[in-house]
Amino acid sequence: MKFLANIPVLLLVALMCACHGSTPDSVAPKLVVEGWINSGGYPEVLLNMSIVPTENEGSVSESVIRWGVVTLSDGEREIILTGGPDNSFFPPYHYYSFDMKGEPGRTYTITASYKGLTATSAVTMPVPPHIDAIDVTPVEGIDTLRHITVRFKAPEDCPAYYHLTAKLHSNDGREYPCMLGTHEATVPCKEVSLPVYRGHGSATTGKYEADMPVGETVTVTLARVSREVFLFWRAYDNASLVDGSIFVGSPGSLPSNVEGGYGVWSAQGVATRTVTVE
Amino acid sequence: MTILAAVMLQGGHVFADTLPPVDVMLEELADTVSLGEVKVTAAPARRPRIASDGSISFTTYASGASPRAFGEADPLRFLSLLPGVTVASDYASGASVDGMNHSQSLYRLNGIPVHFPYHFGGIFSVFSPSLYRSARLHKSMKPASEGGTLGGIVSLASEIEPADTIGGELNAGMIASSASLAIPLSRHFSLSASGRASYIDALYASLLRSGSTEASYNLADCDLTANLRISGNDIMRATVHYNSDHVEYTDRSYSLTTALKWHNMAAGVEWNHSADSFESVNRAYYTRFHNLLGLHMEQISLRAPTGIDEAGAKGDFSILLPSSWHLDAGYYLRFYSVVPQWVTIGGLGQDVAHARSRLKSLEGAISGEISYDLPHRWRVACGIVLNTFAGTGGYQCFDPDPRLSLTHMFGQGSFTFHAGRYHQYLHQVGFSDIGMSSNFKIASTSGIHPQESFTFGMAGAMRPLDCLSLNIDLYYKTVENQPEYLGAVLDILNAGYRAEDYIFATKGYNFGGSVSARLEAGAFTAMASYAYCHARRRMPGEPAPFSASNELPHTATAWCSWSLSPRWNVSATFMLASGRPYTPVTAIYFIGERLMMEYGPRNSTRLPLYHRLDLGTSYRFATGGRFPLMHELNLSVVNAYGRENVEMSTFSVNTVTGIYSRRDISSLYRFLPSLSYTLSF
Repeated sequence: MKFLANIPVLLLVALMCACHGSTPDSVAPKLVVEGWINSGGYPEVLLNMSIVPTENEGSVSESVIRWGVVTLSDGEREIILTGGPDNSFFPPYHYYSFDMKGEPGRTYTITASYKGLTATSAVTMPVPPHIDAIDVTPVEGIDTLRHITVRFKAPEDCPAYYHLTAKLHSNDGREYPCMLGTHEATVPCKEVSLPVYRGHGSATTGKYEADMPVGETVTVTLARVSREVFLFWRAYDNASLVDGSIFVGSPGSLPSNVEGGYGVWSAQGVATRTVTVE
Repeated sequence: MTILAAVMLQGGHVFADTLPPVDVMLEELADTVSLGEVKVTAAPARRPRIASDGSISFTTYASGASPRAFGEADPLRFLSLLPGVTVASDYASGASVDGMNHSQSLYRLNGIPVHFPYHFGGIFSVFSPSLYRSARLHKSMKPASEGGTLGGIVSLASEIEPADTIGGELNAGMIASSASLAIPLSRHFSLSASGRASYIDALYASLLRSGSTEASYNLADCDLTANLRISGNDIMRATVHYNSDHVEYTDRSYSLTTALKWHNMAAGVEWNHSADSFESVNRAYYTRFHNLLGLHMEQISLRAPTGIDEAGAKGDFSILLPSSWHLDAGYYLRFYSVVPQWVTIGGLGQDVAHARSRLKSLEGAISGEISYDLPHRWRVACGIVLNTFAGTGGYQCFDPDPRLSLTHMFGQGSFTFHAGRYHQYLHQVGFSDIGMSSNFKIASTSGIHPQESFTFGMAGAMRPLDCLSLNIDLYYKTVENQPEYLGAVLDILNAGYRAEDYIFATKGYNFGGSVSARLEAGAFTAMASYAYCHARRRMPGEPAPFSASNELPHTATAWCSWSLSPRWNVSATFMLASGRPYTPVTAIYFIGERLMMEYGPRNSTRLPLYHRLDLGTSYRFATGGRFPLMHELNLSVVNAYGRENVEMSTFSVNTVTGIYSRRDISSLYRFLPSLSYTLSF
């Protein structure tokens, strides 16, 4: 009986010993890279700072990096990218250069630094794919929309990894990652058809339509990417799909091929087509 | 003259509990009227009973006397008020017992396992309260006859005796109505049936629509039981249950519709034999649970069905031996046919359909437990469960689980010490942290080993006053091979996807305990409890343990019911609990103009404190002459002071203002009134 009488006291002691903090450990902000160099194209990099949300709300303007240093090396030369405001992007600032053109087979190493922080990534550019056809077909029951499909053939050196981006000229300032726009080709020489669904950015307002409006001019880019880049965009797709859903638990952090930072750097072989949706 | 009066029997006293259907009071009748025929119905106790081994029994009478949600007096909802039982979220389906996962609890309906016993969001269970009137919960300490699970066992049961009169109940609630009927077809044979259907879409369609979202939901369940007395010692009982749910949630801004559709089907027959020194129950059953998760975005459609079909048999024997010996023995055999999550995708230009795999397994056990009454009011029970399992790919195992219990009785109380080993061969994992129906069952394989626990517990019970009972229990249990699923939705698209490849075995421990007090003083019944739980898990290869998803360190509940008069009853429940652990967002950033989140260590922080007050009142009256009817109107308010308990915390950004903000998603129940009418006869 004495033992029983002591149990509430023991529980109280355990209770006090077991109290947890309810706020997460704070982490230091990191550089965030979203950058690419296309085969035959020039490098473009969005460089931002991650936001550590210690308050319930804040401004995203604190994430914009205007005075960062972004260098790019192709193994022979190193260039420094120029930063400047650009309303085509959100946050509206980006780094670019016309001094280096993408060549398949070369390894491109990016280094970004700002306020003592450094992020680096190196990617070897795959051979660009070839788009066999772009099909524009009616969407059943909706006269104002068309469904776009990209057809291409998987290469002999499978597995090969692909990522789709698209730009609607009347609306978009840049190409956005397409919704469900990743593909892993595992069977050599097999014909692949990929639907082109509009990306859905946080800036998108109003009703989201995955298909393309009639009369729109659409640029579609099919990029062959490295496996690491593919895994990033696959996880990005997954996070976009289930974000905020009560049905599905947290998708977890995105993988990254950027050492010392978040995001993705891609040197990619690309094929681009522009179509008018009729 | 026939008078129908419901009375409550307690300690040799008889209390009038409802009015007779005549315009006079029972007390007056007792002295002044000579009664030719009186029918007395004994209502079960309004408070839960806690046995010396810590198991808790209650009836739907107790849950009916509590505040109701949507007009439903649900037994599993009442379960969350019991010490050691927690529900981590208002959206959650399932309850955690002593800090274990939802999937580590076993639910039985007349002895038949029901694999997902909840309608959506844990609003209420699939169990008809008018048909399945008694419930029992075994927590961490279980006798040898109970195996196959590491957590709790919740058993719902209907009447075993054939009904001797026609009885029924009609309940009309805010989102669903139900009806039940018991009919004696002969002196020894009766049929009982119940059904429930919702009209949420019809009545609340506008409430389920917001700016860019739209939801629809419907549920239905039905039950049929048949009771046949074969002889003075033998009764057969057959049970059939079916329920189905369909929920759709559309976010127009994403053109995304998420749909969940599930059903349980259970059928079984049991034979109860009862003699002076021997009792046995043998049953055979079939049960299935199938779920379909669908994601539809314009032309793209992803369908991820899962399912389990189970056929089994279970027998329990209780033999009273001479000289203070008692023997309990049992067996069970469970055959599983499981379809783990697989997927078909349309709209990607070329349809994708991964091969569906069906994993078949057989689980069996025989058990024996012998108990002996020692001198000085001690009792020792020693038992063993011999488990065998044969799974896919030739995987086999044999696991003996010894159990030992020691009970000491004193004056008005007892305590029991228990040590035992437990195994669980059927697991449930998936995308949802809160145990939604989309989480899929999967049996043990060579890659997913059986879950195992060594459990040590103590339960104490005291009755210092006739009207007051006190209980305490403590437990410590190790947990091995608890599966965690780390796959994402689109991983299913990967070539060669196998669910087993995304399941990782964690290990850890739980310890904690609870204290509870129950008071029943005349018309006033109350229960208060406090529970402490510490549950840690560790991923393979990771040095740091993390909080188990259902670890709520502190929970306190209080429940009271007061019969102001034979007609009026008021009740209240209050729940206070630590916030649920979750994985925090430690950084946000933009990629492709979408807000992406970086997460911290798993379950390393907690949601804010959860608390909620529910209030209820009911008014009962009787009408009718030759065919008396009992009426009850119930008004309840869930979350009476409108606490916005946070269920999920995330971030969003307004790209016009450039302001990001934390977005807390609150629970379903914010000042939720409900009204129901029950007619019974």
